[in-house]
Amino acid sequence: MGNLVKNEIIKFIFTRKLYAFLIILSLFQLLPVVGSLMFKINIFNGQTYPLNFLGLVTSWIMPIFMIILCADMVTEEYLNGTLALSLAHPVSRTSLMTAKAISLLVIMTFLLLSTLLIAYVIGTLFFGWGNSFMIQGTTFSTFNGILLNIGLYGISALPLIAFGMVVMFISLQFNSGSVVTGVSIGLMLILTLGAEMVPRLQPFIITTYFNTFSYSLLFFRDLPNILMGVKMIVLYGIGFYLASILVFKKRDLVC
Amino acid sequence: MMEYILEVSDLSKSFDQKKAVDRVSLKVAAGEIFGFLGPNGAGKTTTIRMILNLIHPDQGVVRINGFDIKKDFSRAISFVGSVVETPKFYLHLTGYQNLLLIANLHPQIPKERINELIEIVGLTHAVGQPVSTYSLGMKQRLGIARAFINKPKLVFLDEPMNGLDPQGMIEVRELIRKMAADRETTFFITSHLLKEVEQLCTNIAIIKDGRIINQGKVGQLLAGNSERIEIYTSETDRAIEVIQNLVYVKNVISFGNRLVVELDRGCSAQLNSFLVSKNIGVQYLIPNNQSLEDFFIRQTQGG
Repeated sequence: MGNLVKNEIIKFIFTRKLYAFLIILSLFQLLPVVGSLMFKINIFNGQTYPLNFLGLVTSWIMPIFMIILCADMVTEEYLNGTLALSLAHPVSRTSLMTAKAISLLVIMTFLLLSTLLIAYVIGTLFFGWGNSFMIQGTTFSTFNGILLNIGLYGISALPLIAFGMVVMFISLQFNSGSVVTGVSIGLMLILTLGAEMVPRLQPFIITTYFNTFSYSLLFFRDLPNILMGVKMIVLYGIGFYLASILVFKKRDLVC
Repeated sequence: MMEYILEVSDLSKSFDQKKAVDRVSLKVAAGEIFGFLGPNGAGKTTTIRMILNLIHPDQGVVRINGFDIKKDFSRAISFVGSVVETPKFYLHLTGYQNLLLIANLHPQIPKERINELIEIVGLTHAVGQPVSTYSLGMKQRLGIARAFINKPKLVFLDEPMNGLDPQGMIEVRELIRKMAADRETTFFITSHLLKEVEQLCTNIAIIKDGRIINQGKVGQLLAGNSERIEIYTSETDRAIEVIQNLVYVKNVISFGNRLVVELDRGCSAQLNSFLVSKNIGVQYLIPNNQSLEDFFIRQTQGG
């Protein structure tokens, strides 16, 4: 299993997508700098700068990266004939799908922590490090602030990977990367808008937790919401992971 | 007792109600170079994919080195190397990295094996370049190297000469010969280039419309029960008249001063004596060996 995960990481590290993702993330983080310089307003410091992006990154950018990654890892590999390469060796289909799921989690965590690092660098370069880290009216020491940021960004990988399993399942249903991307983005929009329009549905919709779960968990506020979040992450994650394995085991690899 | 590295029995598969492979049974002995022939769409690649467990058969059993591919997948597949259709690679990775991905699946194989194979297939100069820059011939050679990473006992090469220029074909043929020389590796090769198969393979099976229509040793199949000879004579009409009713003559066709005669194997000397006894001058008598191509066309186009 370890070697299969290593292979997935090797494939990702040498792809141009990694650098494209990092450039996109950096460009997004430069937007407030441009605004701040244009209007000569300075409300940021390096310590709190990463917090400005957490919502945007976890709710929109990372889910879209997740969709692109899944379509690449499953659908595109199937169409290119490379998915069958490992399976012509002593590798079970369950192991291969599990390795892909673990790799997605590792890559997502890496991208989230890279985003945090880029935010620190850009924030500090343009606005200075600052004296304190303040969040939701509470001031923390610099060290605790860094830990909180790492926690907020790192924990966000959990609802994202649960959504990733949904996308993995979708990736096994279609023979076109663009269709998988389109259907998954459409689903994400429907879920997000559905949750906005029908608040009663929010606790059952995975996209709700992209932004809120890490805050709730780290600040231990709203225990029922935390427990519901854990339940939904496990339900979506494990449920769609098992469904993906079931589908993949039955599938004929004709490409 | 003959030791079979591959035993396939009653393998069948349908796609959308259409039978792609119909009760295929094969036995491949250890050390053979086995040719699996058939027209396009006959079911060759589907059969190989079922043997490798990439496609689930509707029925049938595959045993590799005695292990059932369904029940004992890991052990069965650990003896196998394969290139199915055009070799597929991660084009953004280098040749070395592509081999590394497969070597990683076999922790017992030392990484030096990669360099050893790169040298054997003659890609030392290109191994650090992305595979997207490789020619088709280089990809075929890299594919063959990848198929050998786990020191397999049985190697499937699906159309290994596809898209290669004549020089590339010679190189790949020599490579296969080199790899097969130790007799420790069995090859299962599909190809529509019958001259290549004839030069390489010891045994063949022919598949048509999903069914095996003939199989056996190449020499025996080509020899059959009859032989063909060409007779050059200035008296073709009289020659036809006197030989066409002979018991051992099966068919006579005239081409100017040349006759092509199909007759029972071993009767050509008797026919020559007969013509001489009838005062028909025979200028030349040339045995016309049946090529695998002739045999294949007769097999696949007949009924």
